[in-house]
Amino acid sequence: MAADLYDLGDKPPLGEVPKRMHAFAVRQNRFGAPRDAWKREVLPTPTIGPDEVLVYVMASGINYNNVWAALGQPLDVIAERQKLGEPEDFHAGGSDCSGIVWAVGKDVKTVKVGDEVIVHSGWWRPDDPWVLSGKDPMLAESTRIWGYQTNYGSYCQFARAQAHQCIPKPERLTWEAAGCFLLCASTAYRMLMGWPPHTVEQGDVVLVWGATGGLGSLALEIVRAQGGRAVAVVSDEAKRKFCLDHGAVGVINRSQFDHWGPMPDTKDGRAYGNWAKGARAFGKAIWDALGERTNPRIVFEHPGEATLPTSEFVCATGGMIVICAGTTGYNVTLDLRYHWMRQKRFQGSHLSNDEQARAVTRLVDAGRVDPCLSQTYGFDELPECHQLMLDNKHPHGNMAVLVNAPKTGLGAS
Amino acid sequence: MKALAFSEHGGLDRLRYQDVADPQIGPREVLVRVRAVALNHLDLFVREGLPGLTLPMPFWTGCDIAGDVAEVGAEVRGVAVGDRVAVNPNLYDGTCEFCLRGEHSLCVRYGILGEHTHGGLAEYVKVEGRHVVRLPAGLPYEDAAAFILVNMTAWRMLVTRAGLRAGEDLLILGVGGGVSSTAVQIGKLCGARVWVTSSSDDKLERARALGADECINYAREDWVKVIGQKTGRRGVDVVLENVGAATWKGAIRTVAKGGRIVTCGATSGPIAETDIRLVFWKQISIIGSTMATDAEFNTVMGQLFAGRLRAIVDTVMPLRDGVEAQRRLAEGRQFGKIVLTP
Repeated sequence: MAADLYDLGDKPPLGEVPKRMHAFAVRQNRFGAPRDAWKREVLPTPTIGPDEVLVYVMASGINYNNVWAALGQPLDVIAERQKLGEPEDFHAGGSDCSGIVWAVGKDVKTVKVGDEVIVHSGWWRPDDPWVLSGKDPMLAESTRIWGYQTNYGSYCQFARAQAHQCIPKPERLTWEAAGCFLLCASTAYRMLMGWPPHTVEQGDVVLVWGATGGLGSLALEIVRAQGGRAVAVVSDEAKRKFCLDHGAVGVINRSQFDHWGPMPDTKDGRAYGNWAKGARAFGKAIWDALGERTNPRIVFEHPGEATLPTSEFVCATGGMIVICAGTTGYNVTLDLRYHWMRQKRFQGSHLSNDEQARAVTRLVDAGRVDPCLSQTYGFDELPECHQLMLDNKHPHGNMAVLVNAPKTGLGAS
Repeated sequence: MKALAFSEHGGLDRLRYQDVADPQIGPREVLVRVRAVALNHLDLFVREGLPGLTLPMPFWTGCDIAGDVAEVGAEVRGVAVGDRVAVNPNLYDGTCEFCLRGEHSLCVRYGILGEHTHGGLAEYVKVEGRHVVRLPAGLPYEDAAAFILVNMTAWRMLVTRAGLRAGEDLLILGVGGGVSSTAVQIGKLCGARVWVTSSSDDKLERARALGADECINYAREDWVKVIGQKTGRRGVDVVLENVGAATWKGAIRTVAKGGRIVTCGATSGPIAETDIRLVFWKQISIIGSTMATDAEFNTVMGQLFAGRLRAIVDTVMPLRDGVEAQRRLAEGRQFGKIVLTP
């Protein structure tokens, strides 16, 4: 008979689910700095619906969305779920994991108990009419980010997911490498490959902002894998080598420019002139980094407010600026003239669908895209990992924490 | 010949109906006797002066031209004196990477006949031989001229760039303008449900006659709210936006998840404040578009010739009254195109 609660790494018999489990959670009364908001608790193990699975989590990735969850800003995810009728007064998050399927709902046919999987974080209601109609589920009304907008994510000993989220774990990867990359990788993949005709083709130049972060580093890897040429933007010389190692053909240090932020009023001749001078110099820096006068056909955006006017300026005629976040702010002034005259496209993108998550996982499986694992931490260091992220002191690439995996280096074959 | 010309940039008072030198054609050109020329905002902008645009004075604009072929260059094939034709206003170098893939309006040296070279506000205009298309018998010159530029623009925006499909909702902001009004019929041709806004009931009525399904007077009603209510908060698939600053925030709010906003100009200003959270959460696409390729020109003219689209003519006036005509356009009193006849 299974015990009521197992220590981390102490496996119950395969398929037996204990009543309670270890997890990291946030509660509303401790919203704030991640290092204090995230606390280890013992929670009831969730029950699963007919199309859901429980995953015995071996390792989890760390993502910025659970910094927001800790802050309670810009969204109180607990209150949002309670409005929809979910009773839990805590958020046990986590949007990236590797693990072993431990239980499956009665309608699940695609995975079975014992399968080694990674979980992608696209979640939607199975009866959503949009999803049933066969359209891209990422545009459905019910779509949520698993482990951020849904509960019982990868910071739990047993995570609850929908069966379609499970992808076979790349066998050659350790638990921590397999668990660290998919949210960033699938987001980057949809941005770079999901918006035809602006998909990365042989020789295409792609400008990648924030190139040493989890998202940026995977963008570099994916661009290289598709035969494109990524120019990486960083804020510090020390980051140059990392970018070149992960596939960039050139690197620009943006601290050498000072025209960032909102574009000045075009009627203010002097201010606008200075801005335009900065933007042009940045465009030239792209050519210098490439060794030829070619503008980027795709600009990979996520800083937003500080950089978007420049992105819009340097993007090639007929090219696309694609964006998934606004880490420096959300209020952007677009000069639509570049948009018509140069027939550019500004495209929003959000996470990925199942197909895109699987496509990028295949690239990782084939060794063509590195998961960019930076550093692996113990389970109890999880709050500190989020704090590092908030303070922008985290190591380049993607962090992982061990959950049930007893030490690093396990799980690869 | 006579032309409605100006010798320096400025207001309407710079325009003179005056004698100018006749154009001389080269071996690859044809001379067209202008029978009808439609006005565009471009005529006003060029007269007032555009940064970086230096023109040979005196200059006359006019990009929307129909007429008779009066003379044919030695190397031109397939065009004969007396042919009734419409003129494709595209100017491009034919050698840049964009031209090589047929994307003429992306040409690095792209220009428009009547903006960068002497245009059709005159008795004669010279045109490249490959850029005239023969009119079917019975199609009036006025209709052909009124049709060209706005339909090239609207067709590329809706069909090529936004990929408008049957069953989708299309919103056209400010339906009085030339591009916006013809977009109503292109939207219907594509099988879309067409929403339009205007501050004038008269313009809304005319849009309804062109097939608009839902007409909103924005002076009386909050169009963002109305569309939200009537679509069950879903919004519309495609927004045709050429108002700019004044309607931009509403356009971003009103477009559905995965929707497209396509823009070709901004009569209220090009600086658009954008909350990018809505851009990435709703995964919307904001698409710029300018003019059209030769292929799109030929396709859309074919729709006119086949009777599937029609020209929307506001008024026809003699070329010598061109000042009055430009004033009417500048004041936004028209619905559809103002056509001049030399």
